[in-house]
Amino acid sequence: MQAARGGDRAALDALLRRHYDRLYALCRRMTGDPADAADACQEALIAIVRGLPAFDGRSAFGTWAYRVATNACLDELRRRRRRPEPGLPEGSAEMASPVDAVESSTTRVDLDRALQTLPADYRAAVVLRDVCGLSYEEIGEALVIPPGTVRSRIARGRAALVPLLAPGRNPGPSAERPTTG
Amino acid sequence: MSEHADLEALSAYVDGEAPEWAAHVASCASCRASAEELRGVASAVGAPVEPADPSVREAAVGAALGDLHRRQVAERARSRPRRYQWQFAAAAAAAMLVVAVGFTALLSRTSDRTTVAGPAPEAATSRDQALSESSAAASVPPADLGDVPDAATLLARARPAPAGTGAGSGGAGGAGGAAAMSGNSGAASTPAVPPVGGQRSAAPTVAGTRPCEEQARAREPSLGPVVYFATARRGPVPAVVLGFSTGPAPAPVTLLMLAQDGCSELLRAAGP
Repeated sequence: MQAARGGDRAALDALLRRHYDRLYALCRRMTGDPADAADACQEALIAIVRGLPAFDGRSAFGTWAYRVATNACLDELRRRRRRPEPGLPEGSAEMASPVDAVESSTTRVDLDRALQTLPADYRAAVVLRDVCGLSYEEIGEALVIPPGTVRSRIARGRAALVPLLAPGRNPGPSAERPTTG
Repeated sequence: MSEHADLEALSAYVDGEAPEWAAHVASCASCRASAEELRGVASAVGAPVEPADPSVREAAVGAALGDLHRRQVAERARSRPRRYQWQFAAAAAAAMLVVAVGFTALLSRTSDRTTVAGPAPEAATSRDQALSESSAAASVPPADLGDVPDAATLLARARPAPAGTGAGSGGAGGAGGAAAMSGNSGAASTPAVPPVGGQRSAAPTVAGTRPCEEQARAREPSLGPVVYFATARRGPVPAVVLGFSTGPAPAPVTLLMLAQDGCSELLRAAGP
């Protein structure tokens, strides 16, 4: 790590390769698209290399890298919103939004599309927990939010996903439960 | 904890962040069912992601390292001016030194030429003085006659001093041939002329002169001592010009212009 922070090319190469798959998985779930995930992950690696000399080590490198990658994903999503969408195929007008697409489906909803229905902040918390396996404290560090907010976002995000991912799309008992906030 | 757990508590419980709810969930079917739903969602979201294509990974790593390289190059470029200031100062100092040394050498050379080529008839008649001049001439580079297309030009430019009149007494040719005049005139004017090899020890050191002289002498044994030499060229062919005395002064001098490479004869002229 010290060598990588000092700009040692071989050390950086090894560090980036070691973390690439996990960062890509985060980006893949955050963006819901392989190409966007690849772009976001590449931007994340560039940002990591640029920011590594200033990385203070107060958090684990992985946590910090996830934070960088999450920000890269949010940037990528903002860019995607500004991009003109490619023309939809004929007969797909009713699939104008992911939610509509999900609700019109009679089969199990695609995980990527379901995740895209969540607000990005919620999605980031859920993905960092379920894909990256970070603790609530680490997620708080990565997203710069208090642990209580992490807990709330994960819970609400999961509850929103229940009817989208469960067979029959019936809201489960968890969706009826009160929330703390 | 008889009340049902709220959503956040159950979600945190699923994640192991709220172990205090374990007993309640174990005893409450409703909470257990909700926890299982949330656990199912977490499991679905956390399902393994198909890895990126290796080429995508390579491109990303390459882009990151390439970006680093570009920034390092830019950083070096930013820090270069200060270093170049030193390099420029050092180069300027070196250039000044070269100019100073060159100027000094030029002055010294001019002085030598004056000494060697200047008219000194009295000295030229002295064998000791001639040898002394020959030693001085040994350190002087040979004259260069430039491009010599024919024998007349060779004769006009060389105008070697007749043997026995002293080095340089014939005056400089177009290219200052007198400056390179051999100091063997003293030897030439003396019957006891040492062998050519012996003369060369006092002759100017011109690369290629001795082999050519020897070859010329081998081809033409009647050639006398060398009283003059210079460099020249015929077109692109570099050459040496050797003036052989044909006898005691004021005997004519045979000028041979020989290719430096191979010593073949390029031009021949006979001068007074």
